[in-house]
Amino acid sequence: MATSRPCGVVKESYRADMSFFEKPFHYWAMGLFVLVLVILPFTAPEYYLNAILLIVIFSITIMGLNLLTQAHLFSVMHAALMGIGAFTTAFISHQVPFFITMPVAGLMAAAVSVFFGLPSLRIKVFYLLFSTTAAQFIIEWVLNYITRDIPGSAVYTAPLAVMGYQLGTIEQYYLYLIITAIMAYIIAHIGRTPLGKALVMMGEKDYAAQIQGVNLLKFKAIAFAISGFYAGVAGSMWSYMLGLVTPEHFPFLMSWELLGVGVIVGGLGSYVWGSVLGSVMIIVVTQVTTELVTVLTPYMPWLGASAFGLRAIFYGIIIAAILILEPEGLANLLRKVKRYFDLWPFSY
Amino acid sequence: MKNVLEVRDVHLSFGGLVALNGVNLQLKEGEILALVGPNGSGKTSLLNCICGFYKPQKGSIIYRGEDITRTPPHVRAEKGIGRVFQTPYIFHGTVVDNIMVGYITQQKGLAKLVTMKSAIEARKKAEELIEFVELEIYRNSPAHGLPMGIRKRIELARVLMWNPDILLLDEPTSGLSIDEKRDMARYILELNEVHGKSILLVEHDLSLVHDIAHRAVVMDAGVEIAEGTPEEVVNNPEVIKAYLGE
Amino acid sequence: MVLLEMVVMGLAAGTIYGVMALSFVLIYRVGKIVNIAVGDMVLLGAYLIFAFSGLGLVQNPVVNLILGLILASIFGLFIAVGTERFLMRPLYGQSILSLIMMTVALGMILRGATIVKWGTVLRVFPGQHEVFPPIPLSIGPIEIPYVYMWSIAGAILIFGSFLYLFRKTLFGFAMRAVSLDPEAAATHGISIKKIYIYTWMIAYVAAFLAGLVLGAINGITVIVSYLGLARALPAALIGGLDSPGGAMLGGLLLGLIEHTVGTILNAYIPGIRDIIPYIVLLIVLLVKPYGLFGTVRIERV
Repeated sequence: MATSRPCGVVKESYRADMSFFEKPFHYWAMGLFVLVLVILPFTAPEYYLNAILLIVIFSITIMGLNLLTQAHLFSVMHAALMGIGAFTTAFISHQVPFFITMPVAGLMAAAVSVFFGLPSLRIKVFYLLFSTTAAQFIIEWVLNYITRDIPGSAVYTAPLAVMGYQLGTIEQYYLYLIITAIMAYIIAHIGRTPLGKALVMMGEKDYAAQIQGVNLLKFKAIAFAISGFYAGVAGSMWSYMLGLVTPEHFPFLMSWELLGVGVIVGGLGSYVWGSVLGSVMIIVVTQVTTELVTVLTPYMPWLGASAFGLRAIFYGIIIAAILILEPEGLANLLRKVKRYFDLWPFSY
Repeated sequence: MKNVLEVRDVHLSFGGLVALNGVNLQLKEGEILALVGPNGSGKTSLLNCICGFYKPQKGSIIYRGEDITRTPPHVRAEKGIGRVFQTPYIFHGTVVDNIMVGYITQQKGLAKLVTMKSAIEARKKAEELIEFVELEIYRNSPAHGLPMGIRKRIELARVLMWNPDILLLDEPTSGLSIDEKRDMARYILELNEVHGKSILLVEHDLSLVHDIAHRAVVMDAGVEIAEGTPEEVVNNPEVIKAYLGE
Repeated sequence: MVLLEMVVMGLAAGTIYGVMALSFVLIYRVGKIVNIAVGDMVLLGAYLIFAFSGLGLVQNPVVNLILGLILASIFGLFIAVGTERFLMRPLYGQSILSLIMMTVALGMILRGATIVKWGTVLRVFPGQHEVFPPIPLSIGPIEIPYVYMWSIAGAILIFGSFLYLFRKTLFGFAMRAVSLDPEAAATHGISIKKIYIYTWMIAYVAAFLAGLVLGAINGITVIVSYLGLARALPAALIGGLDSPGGAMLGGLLLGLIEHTVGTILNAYIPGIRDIIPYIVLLIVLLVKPYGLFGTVRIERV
């Protein structure tokens, strides 16, 4: 969202004006960020690499969910949609390579997403939360039902391979980064086109949007499809990363975490950075809780079994704090930093 | 002159409440038709019927010889009926963002909405309209907190984005200062005279109606009670009765 | 005869769904807050009753459990004040999504707190077997578990007293006024803050009662919170989100559907009974989004 910018920044074409990078400084910052990501696997232990892969996967889901929430189509079925992507991948990964399974998983999840999103034509706002809650449980149940004969309901995914060459963790990390970059570019691009703006408008006042020629059926379906596709691809990546999937991986609570921590804490309307920050928050809290419990258990033995509960408390406190203190999310903090550096070193 | 829009014997009621009770109205090519009447007389309901939010129980709405009584709102917009609301609906985003939304109406097919080319084209067109409604300095500021006068202009620009054939303006000057009213009247006249749009104007300010409208229709309690030039209408005893009571 | 038993069981189970739906509807009606935390409030209630009756203040197990419920409810009043004061009040006037997410945060905190305090082990109420004997109660040809007697009695008690409060007293009048228009009510001398706090208190007490019954049926674990949410949402929705009477009727209907249609279908598709409430919810949303008794929202253009 291009807000008022400092003087001295002159744009000579509309294309330059709509670019994601407003100033040379932003190119430098982005370049530095990419550089850090590229050299990271050589310095960080594999344990952290896995955490980053999880961050990447969640941020893709949250990007789609962020767009959907921005159109005021509240959804809490995204964990289940990821599950659909993951299971689709697990079932077909033994026959076809990843660059086919991922789009297929995405399309599958998009179809389910649109199907359960269609009631949004008749029902609005939080009623949609109810219908998607129902969708989450129904999808979860169906996944359980399909896998009822498999011991542990666990379906194994073929390892990630290109032309028979099996990718290691580091190669997988680079591959996932590239996919994320592409997905992030697409969602940010949608945000700046008339389509993205129409989705925002549709969310805030659907009848006013209708009079601008927004076909609600079409646009709501588009929003659900995009968001479902993102969730499906993320699920597919998840499936390759873990090597096996079970329905328990995609519980109802995860949907709420995606919406609450991922979108709201990250920053609603900030499709890329808000989503990434939200995703970082989800994973960081999980990791910190795990380590905290490991450290504290010798002193407080009762804590041992309750990492799960501690994590929920942290999430709850973070959501509450963000809602009260910074309702626009962490992305707004990032924006403030950016604003500060816009005029650096002569900021006021 | 040809009728662009014709409302024939439209009846609309919500439960027991009768909002429109057999309204007839013709909007001629290239005219400014003012629709006046006391609050609750059904003016806004009529506009909602014309742009498709309400489906009248009886009667029909003809747009350029085509019955559009049952068409959904977005299709009517594609056909060229533009509507400006009484309270502008501005979403969170910059002024440019708000105006760019209007671009989607004419575009057939999804591909046209997501290419960079279309975004740039939309941006360019938005820029022209920003110039038209004189909002250059607000271009990149968040639209949500701007004052009423600016928001009304944003909404007008958004509708003009897709070059509608007829404009339904719902109290375009309510809540504006004298200066802003003058500006708005200027835009309306320019749209009518330079761009040849037919305009249906709902307005309470009779002096404004007197100044810019070619014809006026007075409504009261869901029926139209008088029709003619603004002078005739203002002096019509029925109208005076409706406004001032017995 | 089997069908009759199913119907009776369904209605009996429905009473407790109705109580949960009442808790949900009340918050929605008065504060326009969609309370996603309702399941977690039920869970907290179950654990608090477990804790307080575990103190063993009275010998008689039945009295002990009732005393536990009362003590838990008193404790709940304080939690209600905290909820309203520290979580909800800073957000009044904000978007509906913010309010919903705040209740989600509340739910996470409550659920997390119970897990940290009591772990994930399945617990039962002290004296469970004396209070709720495993042998069902036979009324003529029908057999129902004892716990449903509690459910029915509790539902009648809380629903009756609530209706009296809501319809007949000045306090109920103030509540209805606030639910219609908080600002207007405030200008007429009603303290909105107090009304909101009392509303949360009633909601907590209703949820705690539901916690007693659900905890007795399923044992006390985290699952109670999902069960609570899964039954409260459809029940509230069937009745229409803002009608307390509708909530009870919705609960009864949901119980009925779950125990008849659900049980019959379960024979053909094993496990489908678990998602019957959600299927009901989807159907209700599609057919009658504003429920049987809910206010239809007319949007002014």
